[in-house]
Amino acid sequence: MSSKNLPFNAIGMEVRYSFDMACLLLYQQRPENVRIYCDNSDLARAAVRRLGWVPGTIYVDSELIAVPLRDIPNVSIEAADNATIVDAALFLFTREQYDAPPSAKTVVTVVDNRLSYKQLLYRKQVYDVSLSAARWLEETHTITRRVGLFTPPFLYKWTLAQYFDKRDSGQHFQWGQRAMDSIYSESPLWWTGYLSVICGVQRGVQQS
Amino acid sequence: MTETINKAVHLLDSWLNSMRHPMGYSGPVSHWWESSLVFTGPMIDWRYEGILAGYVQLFQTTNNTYWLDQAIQAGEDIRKSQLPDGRYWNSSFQIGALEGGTPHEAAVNVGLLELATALKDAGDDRWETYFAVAQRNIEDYHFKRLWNGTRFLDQAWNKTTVANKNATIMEFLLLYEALTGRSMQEYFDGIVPLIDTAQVQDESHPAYGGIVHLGTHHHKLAIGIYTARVASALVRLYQHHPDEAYLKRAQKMGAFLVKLVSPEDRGSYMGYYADGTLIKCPSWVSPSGDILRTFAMLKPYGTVTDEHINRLVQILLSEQLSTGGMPTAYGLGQKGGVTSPLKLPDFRDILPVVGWIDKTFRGLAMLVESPIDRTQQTQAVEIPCTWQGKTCVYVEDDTSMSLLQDNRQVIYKWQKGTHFPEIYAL
Repeated sequence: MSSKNLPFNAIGMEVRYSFDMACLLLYQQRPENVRIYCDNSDLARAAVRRLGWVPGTIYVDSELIAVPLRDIPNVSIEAADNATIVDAALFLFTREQYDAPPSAKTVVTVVDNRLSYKQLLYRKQVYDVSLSAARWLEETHTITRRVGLFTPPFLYKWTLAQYFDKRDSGQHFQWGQRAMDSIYSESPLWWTGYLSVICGVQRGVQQS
Repeated sequence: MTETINKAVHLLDSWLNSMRHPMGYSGPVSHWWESSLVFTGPMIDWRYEGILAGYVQLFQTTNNTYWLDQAIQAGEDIRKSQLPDGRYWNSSFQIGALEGGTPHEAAVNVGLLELATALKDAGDDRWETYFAVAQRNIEDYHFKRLWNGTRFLDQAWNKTTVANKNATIMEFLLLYEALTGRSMQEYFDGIVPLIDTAQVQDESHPAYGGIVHLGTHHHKLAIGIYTARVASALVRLYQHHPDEAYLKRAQKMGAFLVKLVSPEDRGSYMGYYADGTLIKCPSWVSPSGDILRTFAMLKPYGTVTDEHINRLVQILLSEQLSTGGMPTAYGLGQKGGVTSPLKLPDFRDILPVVGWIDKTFRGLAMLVESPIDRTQQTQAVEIPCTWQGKTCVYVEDDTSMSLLQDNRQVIYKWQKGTHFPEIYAL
């Protein structure tokens, strides 16, 4: 279904935490409708699970993506066309396929990042760069929030948790929790995370 | 004690009402495995087990239709959220927005079938509506996708079999069997040996009688609140299919649970590591409602006494907040720790969670003996706590939950009944 071969699935930790943050940032702008840019129906469904609050229509790339989503209670799903104008756009690992951000008041993009440890593990399955995505969005929008996931501080704690896995259960669980507590990073090194979520508001539009 | 319990139940009901979204009960989740503090929308998970069973119990005890109306409202949340494949929308509790949650969908079925049974007994035709919803989930999800011929899988794609999750399934199977007249023995014959496999059988081990969560693999955690869910299911099995062996297993679990209740640490301890070390962090508060239910069910058969029940009830009542809610635990910030929780709770400790409070609501509802005065008002609360080592204040009223740092800067604010926090700066 997807044009990409991502090294995780739609219910994995990567998707759950990054989509939670992406939909939080969308929610805080209160758009009337949302367009999801994604060619993978499982990923689109994962986003729609978090968009039950959208009062208007949620648009997706195609009828092929839309059909399996129509069983979801209390949301209106339509396939977008070139004329579709939306309040908010949500890019799910597809940002690099577009030359410029769409003309939406709010744009949120979830990107994977080649400038991270994952590039070493999955060289041909990491497609984007967080800093490039930020520059892309800044062309037309004011960036309001950049959040890195799985940054080096997280990895350091997670590695310790794994080290203790078969040595000391107590240490394993405690380091695991410390890692999860730092899964989101808005420090200056946010861009070193394996994934990032970037939110921009169209210039001239007042932020919520 | 009776009046105190009645008042506590009324305040819990008021708090649950404050957590409503038009699609169901909402709110952040804190848990041992992970927490869902970002997505806070309504979820059709195991919160509906205690909510439905508690409201049904209160209706049956008091004959006040307010409680039945509350149960019907919850049943409607579920009916409207069922997917064509039988599963429930966003049913995965701490995992967040995802269908197919286990044992959550099973627990939802328990709640629905408790409601259906009560309505049927009262000659109310609406029982068929809620029965049909549960039946679709049972037949199309549990039987077709999770049953592997001997037991129920954790997920269709995860071959792990977890005893406590199977025990929750056993509870709905017993209700289903009673409503349909169809024998569920084939399933019981698979689940009971799984429970045996998970129960600590070594009498010299501190966790003797407890249930090991088989999903914790080599860590072999014997977990109190999950043991309670297995024990309650076994007592229920014994009541429907009297076999002393079921009861004996449950009694051993009861003795294990008695040891975990700690007035000093204001709850029930998490359980034991494989080497027999007691895990004191977290000490569960509202989730201990499931232990209270187990105690109440075991009492007629010995092992558990009024003293044990009263000791736990006192803890739960003393922990109730003036908002009507209750903390989840103490020590979640020191997860897995073997020393007592720090006195100042973590934000996740103090955070009241619908999917835990339903358990205390159900447990206390079992002890209600008379009509409940519903005039008591809830009040806002401010509680000192910590987040990431920094001192904070948790603030809650009927409309919101917030976390403020020392300088009163808001780092988390959730408006009740919404899908996400207004402010998230944790």
